[in-house]
Amino acid sequence: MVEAVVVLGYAGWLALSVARQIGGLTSRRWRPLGALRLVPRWHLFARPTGHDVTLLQRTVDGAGRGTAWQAVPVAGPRRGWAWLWHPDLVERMIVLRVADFAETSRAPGGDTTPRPGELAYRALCSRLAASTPLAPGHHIEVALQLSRAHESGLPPVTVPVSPPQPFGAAPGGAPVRAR
Amino acid sequence: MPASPEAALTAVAAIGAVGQVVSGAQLLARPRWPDAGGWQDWAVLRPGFRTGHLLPARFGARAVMAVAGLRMVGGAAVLVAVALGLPLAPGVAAVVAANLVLTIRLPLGVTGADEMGHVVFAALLPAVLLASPAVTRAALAFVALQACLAYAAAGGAKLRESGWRDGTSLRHVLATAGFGSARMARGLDRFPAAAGLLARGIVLGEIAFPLVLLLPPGVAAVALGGVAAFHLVVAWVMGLNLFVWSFVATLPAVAWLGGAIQAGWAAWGGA
Repeated sequence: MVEAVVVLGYAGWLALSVARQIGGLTSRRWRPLGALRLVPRWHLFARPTGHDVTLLQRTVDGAGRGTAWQAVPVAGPRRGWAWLWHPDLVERMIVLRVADFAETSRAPGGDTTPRPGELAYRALCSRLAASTPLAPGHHIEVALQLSRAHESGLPPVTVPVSPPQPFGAAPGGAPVRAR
Repeated sequence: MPASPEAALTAVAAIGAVGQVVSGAQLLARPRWPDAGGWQDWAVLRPGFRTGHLLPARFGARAVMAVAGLRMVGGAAVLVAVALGLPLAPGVAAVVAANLVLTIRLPLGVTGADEMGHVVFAALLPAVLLASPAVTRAALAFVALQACLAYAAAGGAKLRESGWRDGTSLRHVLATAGFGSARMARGLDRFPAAAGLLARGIVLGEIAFPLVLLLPPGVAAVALGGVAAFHLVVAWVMGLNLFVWSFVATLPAVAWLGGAIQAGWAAWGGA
């Protein structure tokens, strides 16, 4: 009896997995299942971000004067042993999610559904608020610089991250605005 | 090819366990990320999704590191159990428990490798707890079919992208410092047509992966060896180290299911 239930459980789990790949299980009711990661969508780099993403920040005073853009320190260069040991991979993936957020934020529509990378962007704001001491009336602006290290003749492109409204202040920290 | 379902299950657990040890150790190497003001600050992440409320509001870096340690110890326990012929259940249960908590607590930066490792160990758990031949075979079939689904779905998703059909996606990724290689980028710049061929080869290989179940055992073994080699090359070039362990862990189950299908056909034909 127990065996039959378990075998049926595997069959049901597999059926849910198939449904997820073909665009099913999109309603809110199924979201917790997606968050538990037991029924993943297998895209595996189907839409890779084909850029090196550098996060930039600057401090802007109350009169709107900004400091020079500075790179936010994130994962250092990839080491030769990354094929075996790559603890910075998580940080690299988070930065790519921030880039996803920047891209979808620029898209027209203005709908209020959660965007890919929104959580990563919130985490970035919180991180900057915690690490950057600010004078009263000052705030931080964020931008991304996109480049490809191994492609000659491709100048780096700086793109803004927006919108600022939902993320005007990081929890418990100084205000962070996206540029 | 695995001699028995039990041998296949042991191989799946052993290969996957190495990935869990490495993954747990990688989290332990970055102890500040789950702290306040870090990338995985719980005060910021928890309100962002519904399942966040399954865990307590106070779940700081120390607690996360303890769970990451449990993942690592669980993986190591599986390896010791395989080496000494002991029950796999305690190690597998520890990995599943740790993965369930970490999946919710660390929602950012998750890759397909983390997800496949999570799915494989969750699928192994009933089999190692019940030690029933029927459940062992069902678990192996599930893991094998999940792998087929993952490769085919990923191939299908890539096929819909023009950048994968003409090779520009691959060329751009390989030209980055984060996930590419200067040598590969230079090579593909010199022979642009090769990028298109390589990208289409990857897409077709992923879509065709389930056909490995229908190949004769010798041919299937060579094909699965090619898949393992592909993951090694991806790890080497792109630094995606955990994909090797979590996806290659599924291959003994695929080999077993393919063999079982062949044997079933042979038995059917001989009846």
